[in-house]
Amino acid sequence: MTVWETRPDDFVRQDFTDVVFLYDRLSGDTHALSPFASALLGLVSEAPKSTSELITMLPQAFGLAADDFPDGAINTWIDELDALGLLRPVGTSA
Amino acid sequence: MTTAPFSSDISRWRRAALRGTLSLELGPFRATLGCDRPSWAALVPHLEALYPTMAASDTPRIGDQNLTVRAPNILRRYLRPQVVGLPGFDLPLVPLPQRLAPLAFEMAWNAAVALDCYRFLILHAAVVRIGDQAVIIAADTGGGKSTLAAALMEAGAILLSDEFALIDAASGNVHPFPRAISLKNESIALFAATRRHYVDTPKGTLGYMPPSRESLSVQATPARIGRLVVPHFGVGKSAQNIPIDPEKAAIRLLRGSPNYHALGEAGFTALMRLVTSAPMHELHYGSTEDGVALVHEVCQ
Repeated sequence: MTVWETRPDDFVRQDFTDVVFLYDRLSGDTHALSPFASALLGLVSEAPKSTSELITMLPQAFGLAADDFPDGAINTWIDELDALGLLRPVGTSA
Repeated sequence: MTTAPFSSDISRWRRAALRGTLSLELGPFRATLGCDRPSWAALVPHLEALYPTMAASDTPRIGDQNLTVRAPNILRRYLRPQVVGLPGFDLPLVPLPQRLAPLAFEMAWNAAVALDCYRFLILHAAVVRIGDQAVIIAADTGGGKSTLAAALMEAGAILLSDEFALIDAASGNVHPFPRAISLKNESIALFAATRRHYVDTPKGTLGYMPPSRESLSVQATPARIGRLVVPHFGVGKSAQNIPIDPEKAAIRLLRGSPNYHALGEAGFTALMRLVTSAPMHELHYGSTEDGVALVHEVCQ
């Protein structure tokens, strides 16, 4: 299972009710993130996390059950954050 | 080295323009201007009518923008004469008939500010001052930004800009750049103060309304931004004021900024401060009077 890390010191963020704007100092890009994508990034900011840990922790962060999320949704968000360069794989866990 | 009002000594400015060393100062900018003879002859009535008090100088100086208005080649100076307005850097340009040299000048100055100025966060918007607060009228295609700005000026507002909001990233204030208001087609007849008219342009008929004396008197004074409005004029529409969430305001303004991405973090910080400190309203209206009333309503 992939372990992910991020680089919070390179981001400037502005939180709104339904959107978080994130400016990436390295790429110069501005991203508009959903609360879920932003929360994923927040979890990884605390310490590197595996995909399975994120699948468990993200619903808990919103007081929801894992099956409240559509199948594969969290994996998709992780992939999108990876594609944007906001998350990066640092290894694998058992 | 001293400047003088443009209308004070046209023959002196002519010599400087033909040498390419005429300086024109407005708001925070100094533009240097060079012209060929036919273009200068077509441009002078425009500048005299719309910018008689604009500070001019014939001393060679470094400009913020370096504009040239001339025939695209020697042949087109004499045969079916044409003109182009060069903003000081390479840009694909469609030549205009020589009689439209004033448009070439206005377009060149717009292009130079929009594409080659990094001192400010630039938004495509008109700006007026009502009381002590600036109101940014964000452009939406066909929304009626310039018409609303002209109507507000007639109703006593101070025009700060017709085309660009120049936002200082450090202070968050907007700098005036009071160019003449460019009105199109049906809007021209609404304003008796429109001075210069040009027919058969690529945008139809254009008319220019000069900035008021008050607008020119505060051109060096930045203003605090109090409100953001997005006008939506439509025949038969009833007056409606719709508050816009700041996150949606940010996305709208991002789309209308030619230099946001070039400014990096300073642009992000300035934009976020703007949308969190100045509420945005979408204004729908079917008459200019209703538009003016809505702007005054949201400014209360």
